[in-house]
Amino acid sequence: MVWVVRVLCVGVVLLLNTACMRNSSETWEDWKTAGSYLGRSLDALCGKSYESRMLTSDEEFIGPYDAEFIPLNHGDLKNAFVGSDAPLPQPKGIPGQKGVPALVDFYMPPDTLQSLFHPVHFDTDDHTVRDRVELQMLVEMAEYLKKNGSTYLVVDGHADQRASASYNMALAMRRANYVRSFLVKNGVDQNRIFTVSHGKERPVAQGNTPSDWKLNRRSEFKIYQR
Amino acid sequence: MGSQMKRLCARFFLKICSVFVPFCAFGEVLEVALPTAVQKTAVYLTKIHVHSSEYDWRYFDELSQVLAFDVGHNGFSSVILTSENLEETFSWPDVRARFDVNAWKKARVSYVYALQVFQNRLQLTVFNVQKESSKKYVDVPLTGKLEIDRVQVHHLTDAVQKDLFGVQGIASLKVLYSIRSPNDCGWDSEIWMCDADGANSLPLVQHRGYCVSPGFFPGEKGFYYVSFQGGQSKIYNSLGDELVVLRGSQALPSINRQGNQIAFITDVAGRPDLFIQNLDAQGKMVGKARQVFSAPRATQASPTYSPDGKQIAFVSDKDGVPRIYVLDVQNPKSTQKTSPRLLTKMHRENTSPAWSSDGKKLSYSAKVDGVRQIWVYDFVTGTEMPVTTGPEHKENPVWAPDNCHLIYNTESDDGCELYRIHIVNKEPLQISSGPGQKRFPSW
Repeated sequence: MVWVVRVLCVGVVLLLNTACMRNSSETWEDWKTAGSYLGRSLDALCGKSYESRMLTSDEEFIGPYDAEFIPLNHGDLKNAFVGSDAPLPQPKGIPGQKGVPALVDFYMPPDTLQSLFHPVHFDTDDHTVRDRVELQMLVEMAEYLKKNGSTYLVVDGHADQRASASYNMALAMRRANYVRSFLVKNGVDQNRIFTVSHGKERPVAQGNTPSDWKLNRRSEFKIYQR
Repeated sequence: MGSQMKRLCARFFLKICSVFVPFCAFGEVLEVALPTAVQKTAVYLTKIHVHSSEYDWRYFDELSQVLAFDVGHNGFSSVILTSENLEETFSWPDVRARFDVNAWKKARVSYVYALQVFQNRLQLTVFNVQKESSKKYVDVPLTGKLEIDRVQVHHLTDAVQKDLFGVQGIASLKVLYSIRSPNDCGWDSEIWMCDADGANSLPLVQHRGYCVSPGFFPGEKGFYYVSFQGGQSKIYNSLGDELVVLRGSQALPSINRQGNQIAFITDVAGRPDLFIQNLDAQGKMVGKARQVFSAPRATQASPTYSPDGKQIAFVSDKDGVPRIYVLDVQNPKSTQKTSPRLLTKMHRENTSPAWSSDGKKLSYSAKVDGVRQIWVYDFVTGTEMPVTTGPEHKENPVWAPDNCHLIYNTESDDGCELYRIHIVNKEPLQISSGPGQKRFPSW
């Protein structure tokens, strides 16, 4: 309880402090950070905790024999990850092996499918698609993929050029996996969707205007049809 | 319970007042600056006196320039201009015979490098003016090929620096980096290597897909890099073998100083999380990869190990914006909770951390007034200090083994270049040139 009150103190101080010193964009960032702390403290009041837990037994140390990695104990993380952020393992098949198409063999959708596999875009520092039109397109894409069970999909994640190359590589990875999760939650077989992160390495717009940045914050799609 | 809640609420409001009022009254951010400059020692390099050699005078001219660069950019010494009066104080070939200490003291020179060539062998005698002593170094055989002989000169100047200043020099280090350049299909990125002064650049990884993030294995056991040759990013060693075999993408690798573990970011679990993988002495996987950090709606990036391998500093935006945290890499059988500790608090968008080999400092890139600059976090004092200024973005700072120099790359509309900088003198030195964007340096 004392810990919860302390976290609340930190959150409120941050919120109050923003009015004193910062410009508008920094103020917004402070609000987001403070909001994160307040959210965590409220969740803690309800019994949820976001702290990762180390393993507690030899069996967990070795991991299940069919698992390819040793995961964090998801006991608490399961409650914390909701919606599109729930863990979704990568496809079982390895590209290029045992009938799974190699990623280099995927191609841009033909003209007849361009409108269905149109790139989707993200806000700055965000990994979720918020545009309703694009979300509807993703739903329709999911319907197509469910009806066409021999179609594989690659989701490419990209970022604009403003943040560092290394962070953008990870952020684009997040974006691609978000889109994959969205499609899987709309019924697509998770073993037919692969993700690739390109960071900010492959911009489509070379300029330095907000509209160029928006074009570059995107996920694109490639398909493979048997 | 009711009275306990009342006491807690009262404490809550008192804490708000006690913390908020000072912020409003004294709301200035404290910025700690490193000392502006290290007093550099004056060093004199004689002209190379050639007694017997078939090599061209232009070759010796270039060799002199290599020496001058190494000595003048080591962070400890500065090279003063040659002077005919001072040159005339020497008697060749026995330079020790008539060394006029008083003349050099009067010229306020601390060290004198007397250089001569006998039968294609470079001889160096270094005079310590204050101590009135000298040391003759082992002869360096010259091939007449500058690209080979300059490497020998680098080793020589590093050895001298160790003797004079107690710190191993960085002239003989090699630098790995990527060069990004346009091609017919968009962009290409290859792994290159050069000397610490930017010379002798040559490609190491070509035609193996889009390659980034190179790094050296400790103990001169080759290097690793990330490639998209199969479509997804994977981590490879210099032989082209995958270091980590996992589904999904792997990126942003970092190997500990012991060479027995690699940290990286992978989405094998569906999110860009921090993982580690144990390696054997040959760099092969031992056991399964282990997930060590994940957080809701968060992106993790850029791990770097502490020198003892027990901690990892990494980037996460779990609290809103990318900042740098430190996590203990515990024994996997430990039952203790692990929680990352926030390091960088002063600025936003802190990325690409690198831990110094003495464990006392962490370099990183921080966005200041819209420009990414290089900063250093001091673990001893807990303070954050700026290293670079200027309008170009700078990122990927990596420490030299002397814990004084950093290498990093700029990013601007004109391109990306590699720079070296001493963290106290703060004089950036461009070492790359030519076409292509040079990024992700490592040495």
